[in-house]
Amino acid sequence: MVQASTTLTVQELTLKIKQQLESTFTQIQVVGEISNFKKHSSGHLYFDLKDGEAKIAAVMFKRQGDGLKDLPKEGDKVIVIGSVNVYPPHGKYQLIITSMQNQGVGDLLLRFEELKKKLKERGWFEKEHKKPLPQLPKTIGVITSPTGAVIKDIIHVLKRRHSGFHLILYPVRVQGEGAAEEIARAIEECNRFQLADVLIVGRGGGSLEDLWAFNEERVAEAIFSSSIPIISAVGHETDVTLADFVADVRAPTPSAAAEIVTAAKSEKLAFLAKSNQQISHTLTQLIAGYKAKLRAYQRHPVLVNPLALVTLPLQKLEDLQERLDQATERRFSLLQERLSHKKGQLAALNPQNVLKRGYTILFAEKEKGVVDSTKKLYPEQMLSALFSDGKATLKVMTTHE
Amino acid sequence: MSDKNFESSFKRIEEIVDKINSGALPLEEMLRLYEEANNLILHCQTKLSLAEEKIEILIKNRENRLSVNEEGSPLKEPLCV
Repeated sequence: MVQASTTLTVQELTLKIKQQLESTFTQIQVVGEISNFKKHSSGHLYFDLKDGEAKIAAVMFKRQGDGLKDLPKEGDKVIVIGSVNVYPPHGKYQLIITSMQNQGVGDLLLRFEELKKKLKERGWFEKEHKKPLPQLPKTIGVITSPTGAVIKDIIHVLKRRHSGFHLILYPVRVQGEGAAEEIARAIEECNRFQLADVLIVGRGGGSLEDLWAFNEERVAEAIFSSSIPIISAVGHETDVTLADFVADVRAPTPSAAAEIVTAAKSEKLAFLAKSNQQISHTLTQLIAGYKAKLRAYQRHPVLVNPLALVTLPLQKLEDLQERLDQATERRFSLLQERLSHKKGQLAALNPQNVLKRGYTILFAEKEKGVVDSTKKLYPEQMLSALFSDGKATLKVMTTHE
Repeated sequence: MSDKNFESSFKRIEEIVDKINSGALPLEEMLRLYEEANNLILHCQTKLSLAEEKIEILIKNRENRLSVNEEGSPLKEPLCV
């Protein structure tokens, strides 16, 4: 406690106040209304926080202020977190704010949860209501802001795929008054005019208020009733809206939505390229194999020197001929030998030859025939005797047995 | 080419790739299948890749509603990004 007897300088007092206040009020949460809002050229935000009864000066430095999705406006009800700071030269205190949230957010979150429960009970999030996406959509409908990043991202991805596509943009406001109605009507009209085979509905990231249109029942209903399959692409991966729950497919980002739409086509093109490569490879291998075989055949001695093919049989033929000649000759001489042998045998049997050896053949002169027995003889009979060198006539004197 | 036609073409290509890869076919049959598959692949690739690139935006009138022609069809114009 500061004693009355102690005299303090202004600086000493101010420093004591500074120490007390700053140590007591660090990182406190304060609710209030924005007033006298000013954004300094340095980027720092200066304003007052007030309610019916009091007001406190506040500052949000550039570093933290840049993190705000939207600058606060005059009269906004906000919840801030900050620390009290005393500035001795001016003898003033202020709240240095590190984070700020619109107080309406709490109300919105409540509405979000209520509506989510209601739609869930209606079964709108159920898998059975999810329509399959067309494999090869002819026309891709995009419902988003014509000036936002979403349409640029989608077109960028589609173009990168190097395959033709037909995209129709249905321009809508994606935040603020009437945005939900516009988005819902766009979905309905795309269906009525059959403008596309698949729809991408989305916007870039933002605060809960920014994304709110996609949490309206009107939009959820239009998505649910659409007969054209719908891909939702709202905000960043972490932003979840009711539209995401009702949509047939939820894409984490607009680029992802474009990838999803063209996935089947890319797959098909990849399959074709792979198939082409495979069969070409197999065929090339096969033909190379046949060619190698052919070359091997071409190197075969028979084809290199076709005469070789006839040389061998020719030799064989000559060989055979020689053997035939020899055989014939042998056979011939054998036969000749046998013939002369028979000749000899025959010669031995010739009666002339017998006669030469001293034998004589007797013929009876009157009775024809050879006399080969004394019984055929009688005295005075005339006989003719055949010699080897002539004949003689003989007369039988007597016969003896 | 309809999706159905596409599907049957793809099925046929797959069939041929399997057959050719099995390698148990006479050369003449292989070449015939190769030609068939090659034609199918080229045809499908052409159909998939050569679709015209068209980027359009629907035209809205002053009341922020779609502009339509006499037949009641929404009007479009090319979108330059």
